[in-house]
Amino acid sequence: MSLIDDLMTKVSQLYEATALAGMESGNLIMIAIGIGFIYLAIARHYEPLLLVPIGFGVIVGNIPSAAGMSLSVYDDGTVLRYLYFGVEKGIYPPLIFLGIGAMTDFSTMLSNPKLILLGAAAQVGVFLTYLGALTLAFTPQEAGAIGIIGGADGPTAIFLSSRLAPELLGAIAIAAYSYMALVPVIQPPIMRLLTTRDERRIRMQPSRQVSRQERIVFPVAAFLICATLAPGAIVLIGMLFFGNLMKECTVTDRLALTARSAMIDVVTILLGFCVGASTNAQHFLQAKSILIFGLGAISFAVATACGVLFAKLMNLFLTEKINPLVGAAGVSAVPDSARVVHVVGQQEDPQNFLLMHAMAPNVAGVIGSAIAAGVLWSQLTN
Amino acid sequence: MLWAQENSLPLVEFTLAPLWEEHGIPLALMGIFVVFVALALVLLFIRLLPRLLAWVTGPTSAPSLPSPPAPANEALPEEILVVIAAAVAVTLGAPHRIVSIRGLTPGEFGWSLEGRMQHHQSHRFRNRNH
Repeated sequence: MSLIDDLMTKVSQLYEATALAGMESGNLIMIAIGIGFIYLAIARHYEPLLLVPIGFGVIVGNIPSAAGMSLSVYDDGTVLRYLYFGVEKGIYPPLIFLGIGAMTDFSTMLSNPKLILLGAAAQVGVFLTYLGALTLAFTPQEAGAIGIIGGADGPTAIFLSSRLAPELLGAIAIAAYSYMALVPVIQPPIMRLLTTRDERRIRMQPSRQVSRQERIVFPVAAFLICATLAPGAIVLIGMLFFGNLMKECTVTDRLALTARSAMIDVVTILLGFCVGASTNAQHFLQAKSILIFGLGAISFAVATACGVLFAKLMNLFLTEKINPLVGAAGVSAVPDSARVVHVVGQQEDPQNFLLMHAMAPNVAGVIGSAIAAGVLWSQLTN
Repeated sequence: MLWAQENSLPLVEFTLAPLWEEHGIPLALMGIFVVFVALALVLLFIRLLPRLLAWVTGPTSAPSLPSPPAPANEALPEEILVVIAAAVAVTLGAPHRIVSIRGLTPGEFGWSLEGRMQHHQSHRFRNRNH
């Protein structure tokens, strides 16, 4: 009998040593969500570079640890904890901004600068959602981190939430990246609702050519302007314009190439995976997460609407009209938002080419959301 | 009203009080103002940039003017010129002379669309009765 007892004890110990023992329904739900992300990325091509690392990270983060074996991002001394350090301390987002700067062409914005204001208008959505979150009893810090989802900029959202509300980082990051992936679904109905067919058919004049000197001077001068007004944005804006200067000056091609290829790829993998791994069901499946997802959707929709409506407002004063659809690209989901504007415009007029025009508010939106984040960070840091 | 199951606390707690505090509407208005002012100053600077550069580098090199298309033999390697000449010859057929070759401006991307439309039309089903 003792042999059978020992055998049963061993079987019991074996079961306790597996992940099954600690598996809860919440973990299973999160694993299903992770698989859903991977499916959307591979089968539907929704932001695959982000959703595959995040989706797999979600699966990894929801495998319960065996007793005495700490493995998650929340356990001290684990490998994931060290990798998560870059998220928690806001290291990865500025590095991603460096890469984005090294691959961004500001020529379209330089050639038609009035479209910059559309990038500012879309940020109104950030602050309106901030107010909305305050009314739902979130603290100002949490509300600021939630509002920035409307900026449609994943790294900015992660950076700000890591500074202001680290406990909400997982939910905010997942919401931000989910809505970025859903740009082609969320934006078109709002754009059509707020514009007439004639407005959607407005053709814009070709942009002028921009000299190399302008493209080199711009990142330095723009950084000085933005950083002077919003010092909180120095980290993100500084890296963005530094990367752009490396690209445009042409004497640091090797550095720019590394920043926009190998480096941003490595950081994206680490960021996406770690954010996914931080969505442990016990931390993630809370009532607040549902609210954050709801507010994030509202934020994104309001930002889109503000951009479109501001474009219509500008048209009241402009002799050379702008297509109001371009205003929707004021959210900084580069280049997806600009691509959506182009597609919606071509549905009304196949000969209308809005892509390059939409890139102007799109890159202005990147700057605008970073400034908005800087303002919220500087004002809400205790 | 929704309720969280585990502790029976209201899931959605609504209050307007925080809006009137320092971190409410005043902060939001200030944030919107800073974003607009910063980007408006960037706009202003971009507007002035060509003039500033012209002033610094001299009036002859004013960058705001679109630069004239570079002569083909300076901008493109010979192999590309040969390929373009061959493509023009196949497309036009008739005797022709290439006067200049230059890159497309953003407003001229219609050529790409034209190419795609022709490609799609080549797959159009034809009525066999005709």
